[in-house]
Amino acid sequence: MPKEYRTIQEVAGPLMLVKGVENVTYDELGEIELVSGETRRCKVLEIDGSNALVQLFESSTGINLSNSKVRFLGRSMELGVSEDMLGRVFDGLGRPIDDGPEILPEARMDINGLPMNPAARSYPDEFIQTGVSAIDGLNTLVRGQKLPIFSASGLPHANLAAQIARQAKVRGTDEPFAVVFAAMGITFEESNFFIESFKETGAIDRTVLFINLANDPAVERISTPRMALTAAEYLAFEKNMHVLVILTDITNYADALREVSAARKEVPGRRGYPGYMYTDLASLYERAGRQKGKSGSVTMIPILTMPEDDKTHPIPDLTGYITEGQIILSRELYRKGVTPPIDVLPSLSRLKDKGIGEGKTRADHASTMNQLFAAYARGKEAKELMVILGEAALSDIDLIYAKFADAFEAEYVSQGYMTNRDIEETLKIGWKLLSILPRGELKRIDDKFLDEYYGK
Amino acid sequence: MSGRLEEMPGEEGYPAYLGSRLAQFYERAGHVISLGSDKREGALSVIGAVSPPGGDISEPVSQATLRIVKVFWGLDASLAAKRHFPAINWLNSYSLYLDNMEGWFNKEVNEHWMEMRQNLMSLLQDEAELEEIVKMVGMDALSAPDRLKMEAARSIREDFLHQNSFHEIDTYTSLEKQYLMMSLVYEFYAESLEALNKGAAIGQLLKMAVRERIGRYKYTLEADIEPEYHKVREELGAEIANVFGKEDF
Repeated sequence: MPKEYRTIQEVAGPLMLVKGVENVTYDELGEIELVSGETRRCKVLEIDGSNALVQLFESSTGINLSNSKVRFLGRSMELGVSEDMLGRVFDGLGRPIDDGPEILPEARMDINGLPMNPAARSYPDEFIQTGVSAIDGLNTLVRGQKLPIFSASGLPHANLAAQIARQAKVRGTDEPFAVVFAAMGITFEESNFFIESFKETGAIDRTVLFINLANDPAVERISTPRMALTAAEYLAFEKNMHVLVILTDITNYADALREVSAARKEVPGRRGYPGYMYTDLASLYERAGRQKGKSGSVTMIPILTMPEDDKTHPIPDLTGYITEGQIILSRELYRKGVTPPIDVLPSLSRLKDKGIGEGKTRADHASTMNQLFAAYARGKEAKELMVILGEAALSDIDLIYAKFADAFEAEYVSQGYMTNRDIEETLKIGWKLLSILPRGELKRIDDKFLDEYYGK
Repeated sequence: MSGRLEEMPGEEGYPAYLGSRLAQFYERAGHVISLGSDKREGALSVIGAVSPPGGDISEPVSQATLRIVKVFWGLDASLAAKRHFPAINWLNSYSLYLDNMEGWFNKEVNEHWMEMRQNLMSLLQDEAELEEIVKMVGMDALSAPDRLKMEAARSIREDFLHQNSFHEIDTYTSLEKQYLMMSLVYEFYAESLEALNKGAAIGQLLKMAVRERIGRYKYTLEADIEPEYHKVREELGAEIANVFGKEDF
């Protein structure tokens, strides 16, 4: 029986100070028993001599300083994991909320995970087909990659994420595949949208959901992605599954981090976010990857909404340093009715070159990709010029490029959330669009491919 | 309050928990079936007004609100100055319920509702781009189809979006009437464009008398909307046929 303390000194926001504790360690989990018999959970943040600063996971309402009891459990936050978690819905602390039975854990794992041995990591190079042309064709996702979606308020990032989760697969294999979904601080509606869309397509059977809603405690939000990643690592490296982790919305996570940091009276950094936010985000993102000798993998798609549509805001900025590229959604394209509104030019997948080409997708993939990028960039420039000087100011070839840019947005990028294109179809549409341009303009593509595909 | 409690400030002096408090507030809105056997069903909708200093929505309260709400109506001081009411900016406002509501509108009002909405939105979008050119080099530099587009967009703004809340009839517009209004405005554009491609003169098309009637359509009594719509349509058809053969001078 662990020792019970009745020495709560003060409660401030989500923090609580307990005096005169013995043998309590950093990150240890505790329980607070209120006068009413209700128990709440907390975690040790700081030890100073015999004083422990603990962080409450739920609200501090009703905690009576003299009559409430605190017990420390002698272990850090753990998640009981099992293959039976597939198809289930949990709250941000890993408790089932779908009225189903408790999980009988096959193992208990520390939610902070163990850092992957850098030498044991293997390089991500297997193509994942998401069925979305703008991703497959131009910003290819590979197994073990972390590729965030940079979105903004009012853009349909949820639809895109749900589409990827539904359609993603590695071609030519039937290795077991799972989706782990962590919702942090999103609205009930948004989480309902994800659950319904997984149910509709039957994807729910291979999905584990961790849900922390906007009206749930912000502190719980900090452990939600860690719960999800722990489950993902278990499924990937113990059960040899290929796991796609979707984290939405990282911005809410970072705000929760700031909330706790402010309550601890830490010196704020940029825009009030704590100085260690980079390290903290890295400790999440770096849990994606593949390990030598294990066939499973963890691929991560974090979604973040850029406040004020500003890419230099600390959250997208720091995320961009850690992750391997980004998919950027554009408000302008969204208004034009392009679905999904992926802004192709600033989007980037740093690992795409490893995942494409002969044997993975098709031999002509890399060169057509570069040609499409170049042509679209030139077409957009031509269109900008047209806005300023009018159509008459453009040369004939620039007019063709402008036409290409429009067709590219309408046919290649805009495909709707229900269309699942395989890579051959994506390449075919790419070739069809490139055929708008005269053959002489396609300097980035080998003659051999032009002979085979141009104008056909 | 947060300052009094001597809490560490987050952005611009607001408390760091601003975002989660706002979220907790807005999440109280919803559609519920209460527990119990009598299946009481109720909905609570929240419309919050945020007025940021200087109308600049890049400040923390507006941004935290935008992250949680699904519909945004951005009131625009420059529209109000032009006496365009309701001064809702059509370009930066949005609703994330469009997909959910598509079925309802198409079933309950008209099967082409969403299509019509997209048509009008594209016109307004194009207008914003063309406006840049007009500002720099004037209306005359535009091609005839672009001039028609500008006029059609103006018609959307003045004949459909603008609404007089003190006018007996105009203050309330049923969805059916809204659809007919949208159709008239759009049909003017679509049919004129067709005529233009067949060689009609742009000046004559823009001078058609029926355009005033389209503009007055909003003052039609709810009871008369159908017959009046057909009358205006007929007149539009007749006038367009008339335009052929006339030259711009």
